[in-house]
Amino acid sequence: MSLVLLTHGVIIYFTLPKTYDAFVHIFFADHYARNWFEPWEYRWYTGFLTVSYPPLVHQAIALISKLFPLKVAFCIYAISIFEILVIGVYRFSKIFFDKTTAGVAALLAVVLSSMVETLHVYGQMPTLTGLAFLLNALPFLYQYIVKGKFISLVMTLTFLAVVISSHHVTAIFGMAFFIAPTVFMALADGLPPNKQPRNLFRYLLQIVFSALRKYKQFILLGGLIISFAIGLIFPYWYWSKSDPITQVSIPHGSRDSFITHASSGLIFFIIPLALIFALLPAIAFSITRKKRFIGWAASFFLCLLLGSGGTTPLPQMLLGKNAFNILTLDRFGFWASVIAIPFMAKFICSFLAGPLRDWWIKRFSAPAHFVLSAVTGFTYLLFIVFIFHLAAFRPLQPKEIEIQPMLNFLNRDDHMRWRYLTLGFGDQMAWLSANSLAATVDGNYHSARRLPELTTRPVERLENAKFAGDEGLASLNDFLMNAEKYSLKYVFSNDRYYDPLLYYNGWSRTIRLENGIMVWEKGNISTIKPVVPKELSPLLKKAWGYIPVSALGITILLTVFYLSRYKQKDYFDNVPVADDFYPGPVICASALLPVIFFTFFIGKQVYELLLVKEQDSPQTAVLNYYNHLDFQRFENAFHFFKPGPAYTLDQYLLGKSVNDGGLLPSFAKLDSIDVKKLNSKNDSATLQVYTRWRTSLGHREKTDTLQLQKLNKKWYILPPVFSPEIPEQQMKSYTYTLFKKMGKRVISSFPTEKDDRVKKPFAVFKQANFIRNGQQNFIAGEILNADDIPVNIALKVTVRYEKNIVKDYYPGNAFQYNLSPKAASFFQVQLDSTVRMDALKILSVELYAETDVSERGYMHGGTPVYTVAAGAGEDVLVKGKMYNELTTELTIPGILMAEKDAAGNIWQAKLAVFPAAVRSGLSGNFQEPFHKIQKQAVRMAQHPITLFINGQRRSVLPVEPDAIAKMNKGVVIIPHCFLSQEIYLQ
Amino acid sequence: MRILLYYTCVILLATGCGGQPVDKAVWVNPADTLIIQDLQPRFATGCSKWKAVLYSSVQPLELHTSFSNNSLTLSAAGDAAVVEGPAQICLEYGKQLFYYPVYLKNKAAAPEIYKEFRSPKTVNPDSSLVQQRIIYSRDINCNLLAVRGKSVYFFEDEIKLAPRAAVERAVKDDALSAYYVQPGSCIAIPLQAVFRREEKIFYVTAGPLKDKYGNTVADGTLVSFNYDKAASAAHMEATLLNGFAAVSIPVEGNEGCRLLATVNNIVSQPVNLRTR
Repeated sequence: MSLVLLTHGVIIYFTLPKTYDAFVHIFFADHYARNWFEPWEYRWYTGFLTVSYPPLVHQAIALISKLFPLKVAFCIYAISIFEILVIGVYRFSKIFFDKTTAGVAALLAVVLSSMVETLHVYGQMPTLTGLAFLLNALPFLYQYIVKGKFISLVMTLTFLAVVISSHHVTAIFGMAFFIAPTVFMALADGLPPNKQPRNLFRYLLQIVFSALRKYKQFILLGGLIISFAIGLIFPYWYWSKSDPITQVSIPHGSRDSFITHASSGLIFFIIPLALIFALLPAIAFSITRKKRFIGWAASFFLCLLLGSGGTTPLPQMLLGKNAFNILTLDRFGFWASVIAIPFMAKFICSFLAGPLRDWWIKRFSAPAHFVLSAVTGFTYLLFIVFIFHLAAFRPLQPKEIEIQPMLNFLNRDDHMRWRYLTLGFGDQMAWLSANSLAATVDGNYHSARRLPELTTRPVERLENAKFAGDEGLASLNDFLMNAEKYSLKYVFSNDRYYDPLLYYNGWSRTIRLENGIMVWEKGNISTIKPVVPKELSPLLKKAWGYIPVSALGITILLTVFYLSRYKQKDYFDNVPVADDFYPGPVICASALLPVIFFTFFIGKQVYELLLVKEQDSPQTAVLNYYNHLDFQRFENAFHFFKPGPAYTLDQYLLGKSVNDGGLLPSFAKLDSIDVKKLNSKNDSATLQVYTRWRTSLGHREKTDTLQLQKLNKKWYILPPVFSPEIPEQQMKSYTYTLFKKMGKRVISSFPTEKDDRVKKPFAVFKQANFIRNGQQNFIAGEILNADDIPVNIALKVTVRYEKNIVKDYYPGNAFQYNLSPKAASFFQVQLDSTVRMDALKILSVELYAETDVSERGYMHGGTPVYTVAAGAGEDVLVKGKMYNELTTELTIPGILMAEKDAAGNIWQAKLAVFPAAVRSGLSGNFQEPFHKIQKQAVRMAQHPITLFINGQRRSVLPVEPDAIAKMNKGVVIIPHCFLSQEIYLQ
Repeated sequence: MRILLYYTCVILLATGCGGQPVDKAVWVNPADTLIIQDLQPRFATGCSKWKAVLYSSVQPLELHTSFSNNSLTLSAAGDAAVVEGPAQICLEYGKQLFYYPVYLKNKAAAPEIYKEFRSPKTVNPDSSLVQQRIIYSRDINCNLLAVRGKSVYFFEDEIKLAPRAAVERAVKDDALSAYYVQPGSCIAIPLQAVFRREEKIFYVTAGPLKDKYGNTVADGTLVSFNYDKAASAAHMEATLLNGFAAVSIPVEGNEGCRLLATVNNIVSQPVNLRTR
């Protein structure tokens, strides 16, 4: 137990922030610390019930947190549970083998890779708690079956009560994988030694008869376990029945095929089960050798099979498609490793100091045994150290974020009256939630969420949407676009990847906090509307608060009582003595495999870190070059260029700084790369590199041609010929008009006085048209800021259908949300499909605009100079140059295009952005295909649009023909660029 | 056990006495109007354990009590002023409450605070220059005073403001009472383009932009400069400062272009970009 403190206790506080789940459990613990009897948690997903997860672990941490800070409370709890787990392994092993073996098993549990990973990489406290108490329950269960003592039944049930209250999945699968084999083994050990048939079928028959003879015991045991399972966490079952999970399956690495996804296999199968695989011959031999282990053999191999995820179709066939897609399968591998512990301990014990040692020394000498044992032990410990630091070698989470600046932001100026969203925080978003009373639309427990934008998409969290591909970004886009629906006003961004998506959806940067987090804000968002919590009877709330924690209390008291009154010396007298026989090949394989496996593993890590040949072929060189570029390791990338005095690192970085920038270099992740050899000679090659990039505004593709040359057995890329465009001017000036909203002039914490407010600015709809283009329906038009101050405009289309169905729609990126005085913007608000709208039967269409004073985001930059060339049919090509007259870079040059007819009516609006930035005083070329729809689309005049501005009914201005549109084949454009320089806080 | 019994009896007796009804105390120096700063009402009563509260029209005020010779005297703490008007002295004895109506006054008149509210606070000559005005006066203790020069406590009217863009104050020395007359929309856009040989640019200025009352159009107003040549069109934007918006158009590729400046629906006369 001291070893647990020494190995895990000293490091857990530092590994905790990098785990997958620790902060989620801390968040739940914080909930119980604040509201023990109120299961409604409003801070995630607009509210959910915490009865959706067994509460004991969280309640226990909540209790400790009354004395210690939350993180420390979690660590204290984790170490305590690990101590109980080690005791559990010791007691569990004693029902297999002798005390010495059980002792070795306990020591093994301290450093078993699956345990280390579960604690330090996954932070899965409920799993460990469930297992710790389950393993402690099994010896009592064994005793109850063998001896039929009432106290054993009581102890079994109390420990199982804690398992059920801690982790429902362990409780359910524990019945199959742990309790059933224990019962089988107890029945087997209860058979008279001289009456055990050698024939397997007869043996099994004897077991069945033995079980039938003890039917009263089983009925009592089974009945009580089922009653406990239902009664102890009844609110959970009630919730899962009354509010079933609607979440579509979220991909998880443990379900991957580990052949095609080697990294998933490494994390979820190889690393946790490393020692099991290394000792598999010995385990397989031991576990199948004796009939009393039949149940364990079945459990072990079944768990191993299920833990292999999607590598074979068998797990899905066994679990069924539904369960396969919901469960994380790594837990099966974890259980397999736990079942294997006694058998591994038996072999290790015997090999280090038992008959196997003598066998080995006799054949291969004592020094060979010593060297083999020492090297195996050393490499295994290196392997364990690697797992402790796995999160550092292969970062699973973003770097630790200081949350205090965000808490200060949320606490001031009533910011908590709106919801917020974090981006690029990893699981630390739960830590922020745990420390604040503010609410977010996101969350980190997807089983409980019910928002359709989340449940219909396989996205784990919004904050890491970019890792969920198109579905993830679509889901995030829904929330950013429909922010009003969820009162989502603030975004804390720790990843500039999302900047373009935020900007083009009408979000403005507000402030960069002291910790580097950028706060984005959306204007005209209503404060959080009251949400009616889901009903749960007061009785169930009390039961949820009292029963699970009472189960733990009773277990502790009964254990003390049991230890003082019942603990016997002959506790395990029924366990048969096992010999140490292993066949020679099994001994050799099990002795050598670990040293081979761990030496290879450590060697591979060292090789990957230090010795990998990144330039041994043209393709490898190019792939590694792009890999470094993708992760912005520019110095590493530079070393792929042919060395020479004319092309230094400084020159390379200088070239990058003036040539690079924009959507692709700065806001994209490499999605896929394909390298094609155009020609190749002995020492030179030309390669065409096709790259596909993921940006928050969609995919972008690029094709480059690179020349490579071989020097000293390494392939180098020839530096590109650099011909930068240089503006004539040495200095450039530009006059900006900046605004400052004076904010609260009454220094008071009371709600703002009327005198303190700036009036709602004026805006005018220049036009609004309901357009139907095949299956697409949208409102397209133009709105003007008629005021003398910059405004933020929020648009909303409300369509009323028959049967009192009302649906709201919001504009996406085809709109400038912030406008200078007297500036106008085209807009397009996408509606439902024609089939859907016609089925619902439209009654009325209303277009609402809410305005608010704005002090940022109204500069859209750039001067587009363009022509419109005719293409095939209704296709045209808008091409031209974007001239940058500003003193800052146009980071993402963009244009907002509108199609107008001869009378000046707008038929559609569309945003186009271009990949490369335009530096000050320079121009960048662009071309964008545009499909005109006037000829096939219709204006839905039968549904006139009722217009409202700031709640008051308004009408449109008369539409006038547009001379510029007429000149450009009906296409007009206005600049809509993203400027990343924060000085303007666009 | 005997000690416990003794204490129980003592507690019962003590609580039993406290619950006995008392007669209403008699106000021996009654007055219809009380000056709060001189407050000293005396009451004849046989009990000493009275609590006294003065309920004014807006707030309760706990009074000090002193008892001697079967006489209870009340006084207010300090010399705080109150909201004048009907009030009640409440004497409390256990659960019994006795009320004595009075009319409260302050000893001396406090300085006047003049309040004038304007709505809307921002007016724009493009729409309306009419404001609603509400006036009242009060002292620092929130006692309403008659509006200056009028015999009413509230005065309300509509006024039409001069169409001069300015920030005005309804009440002198009160920044929070400021109201704003904005400039309206421009009525014409004077446009000039000058070729600057040394910089190889056309320096284009639009302005001065004035509204129909001669006010300079608001800073930050977006001016669009559209210039076209052959089939290509360019759209440059600039914001107004002190009535002028300026842009620099490179000469290269733009000579001979026809330039127009636009603010909302107002379009300037065209100007040709020429180097000579």
